[in-house]
Amino acid sequence: MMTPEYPEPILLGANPSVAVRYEYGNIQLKLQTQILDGNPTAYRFSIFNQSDSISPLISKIFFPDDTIIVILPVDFFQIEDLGYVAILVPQGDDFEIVKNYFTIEQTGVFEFPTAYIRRKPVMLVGNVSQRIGKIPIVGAKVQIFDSTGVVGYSETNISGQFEIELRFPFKDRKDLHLTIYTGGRYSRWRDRIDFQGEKWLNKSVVLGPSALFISQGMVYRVIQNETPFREGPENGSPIKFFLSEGDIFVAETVAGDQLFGQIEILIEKNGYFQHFEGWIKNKYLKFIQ
Amino acid sequence: MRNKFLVLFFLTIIFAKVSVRIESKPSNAHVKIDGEPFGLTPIEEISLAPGLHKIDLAYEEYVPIQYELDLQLATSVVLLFQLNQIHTVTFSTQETGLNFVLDSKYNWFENKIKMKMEEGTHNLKVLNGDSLIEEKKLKINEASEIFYELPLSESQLELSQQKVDEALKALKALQSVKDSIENK
Repeated sequence: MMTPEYPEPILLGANPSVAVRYEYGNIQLKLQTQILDGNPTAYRFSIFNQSDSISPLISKIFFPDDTIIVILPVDFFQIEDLGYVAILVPQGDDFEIVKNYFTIEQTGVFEFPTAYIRRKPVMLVGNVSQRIGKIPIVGAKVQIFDSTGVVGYSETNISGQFEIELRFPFKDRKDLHLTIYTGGRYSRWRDRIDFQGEKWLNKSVVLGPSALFISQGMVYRVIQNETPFREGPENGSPIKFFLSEGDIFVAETVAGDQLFGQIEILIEKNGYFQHFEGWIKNKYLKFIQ
Repeated sequence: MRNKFLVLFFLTIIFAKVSVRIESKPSNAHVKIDGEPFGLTPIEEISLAPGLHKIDLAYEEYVPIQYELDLQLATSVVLLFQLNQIHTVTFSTQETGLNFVLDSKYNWFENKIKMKMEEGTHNLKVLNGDSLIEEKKLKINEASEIFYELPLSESQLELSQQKVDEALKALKALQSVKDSIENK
């Protein structure tokens, strides 16, 4: 007689016996610096989890001659994390911070792009508008220059606003000037600017004559630079000063090809207008209203 | 810019690989990873993405293994599986009316039965109706035959002891006879 057989194997049902041995390599994070401006005394190099920008995972100080390199075990980084950010903070002045977002693909050397070291920029922001009605002036050319030439440039937008970033350390400079040119619509505006050690300067400029001034007669615009503004109508009469393209002249009297009237100058320092009377040849003027 | 790095990050998750080696004792076990056959152990240098993977090992006359691996980011990982053999065991007894239960799961009433048993220590319970008569460990490490007898009762034990004592006594008498013959 055949011995019956149990229909299924008798198993212990224990967890499988398995040994798991991981081998982790190293990850080397490298960063080279190139100084464009300033002299950092040291660098602080930190690694943050992107989900936690407060507590660095690691932070080290390097001197300027050191090679910035951090060697970490691969399990320092977790695949589940939303990536990391390496932050380089140059020490010793108000330098720009350099950030590199990264994730770890494999072991080995991970080299970040060269970090350009420079001090933080200064910003000039402002707006340009007409004195009458405070209407924004669009497309005015705004320039900052020093003795070497133009160092910053912008144009006003539809709201009359402009913004100029100066990449180099201008915050302590005393030799900067700002000009605003409206293509002859108003005379070229010019003034000194001084950031006074700050990184931010706001400048609002109004251009054009006052409403009171243009109500006093026929309004003309000077169409040529260095137009003589004379004391009398005769040739050879002393020149009070030269007018610029865009200056507004309000005429009271016409005598042949000469017009007598006033120009208006804003004394910015005191904040009031001063009017000067004199004569201009008609050929230097364009009638407006 | 941040978006660019996020895309790079997710690409990294997709493409990051870990070198995996799978060994088993004994070797030549059939391996499947995530349902795909990968040949026989030892398996060298498979590249797997970090994360969860299902690994199956099968070898004739051994207990199959299903293992869920949560693979971490690393250079490499070695997995060594220990396969447990299955032995054929014949269990028999002359007792009647007993219920045998192995590992609280497998039971039978037959006086003789052949079983495939995983090597290791199993737990056998012998019941008569609902009452437990005996519980004992069965250590299986090879194909074998197990003959089961009910444990002796106290009176049977006493009787057995008397028989042993009598036998010893007889043996002692024989020994003394033998000694006297040798002396002569």
